[in-house]
Amino acid sequence: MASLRLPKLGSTMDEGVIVAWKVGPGAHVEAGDVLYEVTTDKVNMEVEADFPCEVVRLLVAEGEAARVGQEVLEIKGGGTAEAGPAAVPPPVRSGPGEHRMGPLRASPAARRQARARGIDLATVVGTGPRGRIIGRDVAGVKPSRAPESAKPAGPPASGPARQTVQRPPSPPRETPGSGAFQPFRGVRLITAQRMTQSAQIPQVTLTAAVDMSHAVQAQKWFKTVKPDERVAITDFILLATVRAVARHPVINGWVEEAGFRPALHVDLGYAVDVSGDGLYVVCINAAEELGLRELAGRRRALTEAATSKRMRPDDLGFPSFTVSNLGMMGVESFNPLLNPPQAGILGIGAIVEQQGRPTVKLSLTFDHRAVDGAPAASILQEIRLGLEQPLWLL
Amino acid sequence: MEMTYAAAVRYALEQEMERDPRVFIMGEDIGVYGGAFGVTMGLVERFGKERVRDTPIAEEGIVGAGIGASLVGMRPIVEIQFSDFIMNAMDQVVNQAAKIHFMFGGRMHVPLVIRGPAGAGTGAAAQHSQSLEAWFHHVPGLKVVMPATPDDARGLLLAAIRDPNPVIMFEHKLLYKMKGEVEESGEALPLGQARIARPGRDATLVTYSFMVHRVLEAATLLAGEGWDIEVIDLRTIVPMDLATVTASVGRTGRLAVCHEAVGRGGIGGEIAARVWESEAFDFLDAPLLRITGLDTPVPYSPPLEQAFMPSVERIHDSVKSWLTREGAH
Repeated sequence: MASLRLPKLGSTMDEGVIVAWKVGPGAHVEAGDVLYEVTTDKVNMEVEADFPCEVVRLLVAEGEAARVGQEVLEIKGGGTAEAGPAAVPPPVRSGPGEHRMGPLRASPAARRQARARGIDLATVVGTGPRGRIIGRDVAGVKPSRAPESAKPAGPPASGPARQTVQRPPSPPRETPGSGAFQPFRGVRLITAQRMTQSAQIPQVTLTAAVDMSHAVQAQKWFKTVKPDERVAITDFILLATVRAVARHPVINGWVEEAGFRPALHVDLGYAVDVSGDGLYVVCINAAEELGLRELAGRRRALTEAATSKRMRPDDLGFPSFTVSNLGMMGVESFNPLLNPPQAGILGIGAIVEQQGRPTVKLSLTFDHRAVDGAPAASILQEIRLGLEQPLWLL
Repeated sequence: MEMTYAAAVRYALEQEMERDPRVFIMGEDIGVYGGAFGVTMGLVERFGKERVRDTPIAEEGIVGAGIGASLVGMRPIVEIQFSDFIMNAMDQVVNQAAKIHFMFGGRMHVPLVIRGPAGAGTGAAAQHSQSLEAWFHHVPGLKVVMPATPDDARGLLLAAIRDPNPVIMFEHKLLYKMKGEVEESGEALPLGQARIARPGRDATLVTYSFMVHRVLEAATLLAGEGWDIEVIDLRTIVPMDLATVTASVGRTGRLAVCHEAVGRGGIGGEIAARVWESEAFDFLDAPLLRITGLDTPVPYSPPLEQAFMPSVERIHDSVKSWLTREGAH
C-alpha cells in the first residue's frame, strides 16, 4: 500500500484545503487524471496523478485542510509504493490555464541533510528568502520516514513558526428555524482564519480626506492621450502609496512574534473582489521600481488574471503592504483590518464631492506593536501630498 | 626582514640573478631609471647592462625577445611597464609563449616570466588601471600569479622564474609600498597553494591580490558584529587551489568572491562554477555573492575610481546584507 502526499504548490504554501475530490475509493486513474482540487494561498488548483494507480481510500475529507506533505490519498499499484520522503510531488495544473510549478525551493545543504536524515522537505517550512528551506530549517526537524500505516498519517513533523488553518467546526445540532449549516471552505476558510488572527493584533486606523482635483484632472488627461492604457484614479493612489511606503520602511514589512522584518522591496498587495468567490490579494512585486503607467499595466493584468481565475500562485506573492479598495462600491470610508503578518494596510473609499471638490477618504491601519501613530500619520500625510500635488510623484 | 612589496620583488630578482647566470631582466626604463615603480632600482649598477636591459617602447618586441631567449636556454624576466600594455604583445603571449611547448611536442619550452603592475587606485585612468587576469587565466599554457603580500611576492616570483613554463605575475600598484615580513631565504613558495588568511565559520570569502587586505579589514568589522568570515587568499589564479576553497565551503556552506577586476566574465564566476561542480555543492546553503569592480572602464575621477573598486565599506555592507538575507544566524 502506498500513499500520495499534498505537494507544495507555491513558495509560501504550507497547507491547503481539499475543495473537491474528483476520484473515489476503487477508482482506477491514469497518469494525468485529476485527483482532487485544492485551494492554497487563495488559488484553486487541480492535482493530477503522475502514474496510473488504483484509489484505495481518501484520507482527508472534502473541505478539510491538509499540511504540505501530509498523506491525502491511499493508493495501490503504480510501482512507486515507496512514495517516500524524497518523492517528487506530482505535477499540478492550476485552474483552466496550463501552468506547471517547479519543485520546492531548498538549498543544496538542506537537501543533503534531508536525504541523510530521511526528512520529507515538503513538510519543512523554509525561513530563507522567498521561503527557501535552508540548513537550519531542516536541522530542527524530526525524521518523518516511518512505516506506512493503514491509518491516516498524523500531522508531519513541523518546522518552526508554522501557522495552522483550523478545521471547520463540526456542524452544530439543528437549531429550530435555521437553514442547513454551511462550513467555511476554501478562500472563505482562509479569510476567516486570517481575520481572526488579525483581530488579536493591536491595530489603529488613521483616516484623512484627500482633495483629488488635480489627480482627477491628470487622470482625464491620460485618458485623452493614452486611452488604451486605462490609467485609473486607483493607480494614482497606488503610486502615491508606493512612494510613501518606500520612504518609510517602518511600515513596509512583516511583524513577527518578537520583531519586525523589513521588506527589501515594496511588494504591493492589491485586494480584488472576485465576484461570488471572495477576496483575493494580488501582488505587484518591487512596485517602487514602476512608474504610473507600468503600475497601472501590472495592476490591470493581475486583476484580470484574478477575476478570470487565471492566477499563478506567485501572482499572489507575499505582499509587504496592502491596499484595499471599496471605492467602486460606493463606500465612503472603512477601517481595513491588517492582513498579518503585514504591518500596514490602506483602505480607499469612494470619490465624493466635498465643498465642490472631488474628495477621497484614505484609511491607514498599522500594527501598533511595530509602528507608532506619528510616523504612520506622516506616511498618510505623504500619500495625501502626492495625490493633491501629483507633480510630487514624478 | 621587513621590506616593502616592491623591495621583495627586487629581492627575489637579485637572489635569482645571483644564483642562476641564465636569469636576466628586460623592459622599458628598468635600467638607470629603476622602473616606473622603482622595482628594479639599483639592479643595473649591480648586474650590468647585459643582464638589466632597457628596451624600446615595443611590448611585442620585448615579449618576443624574451620567448626567443627562453628557447635558447635563458631564463628571462620581462617587465611590462603597466600590465595594460601587454595588449600590444598578445600574439606573442597567447599564440607563441603559451603554445610552443605543446606545438613542439614537449621538446621546446618557454621558461619566461612576464611581470607588471596592475590595478586601479592611483588615478592613472582607464588605460593604466586594469585587472586583466581573467584573460590570461582563460589561455591554456599560461600560469597566473597574483601575490598579496611582500613575502608571497618574493616566494612566488622565485617559483615563477624556476618554472619551465610561461608565468605572468600581476603586482597591484597599491601593494608596492606595503611593508611586511619577508623570509630571507632562496626557498620558493609553491604555485597553486592558497592560504587561509583568516579562519571563520559563517562564510567563505575567496579573494586575491590587493583585495585580500580590504577583505580582511571588512572581515574584522564583521567579526565585531557577530559574523565570522573565512578569508582565502588564492595567491595563484592558475593553477587554482580548488581543494582549499571547496573544503572551506564544505565547512561554511556559503561562498562569496571578491576581486577588483570587473565582475562580468571574471574569475569570480569561474570559482563559483568550480565549486558548483565540486562535492561542496551539497553543502551550499545560500546563493553566491560576488563583490567586484563595476562593469566600466576604470574612471579617472578619483571619487568615481574609488566607487569602481570594492571598498572595505562595500565589502562589509554586501557581506552583511547577504548573510542577513540568507539567514546565516
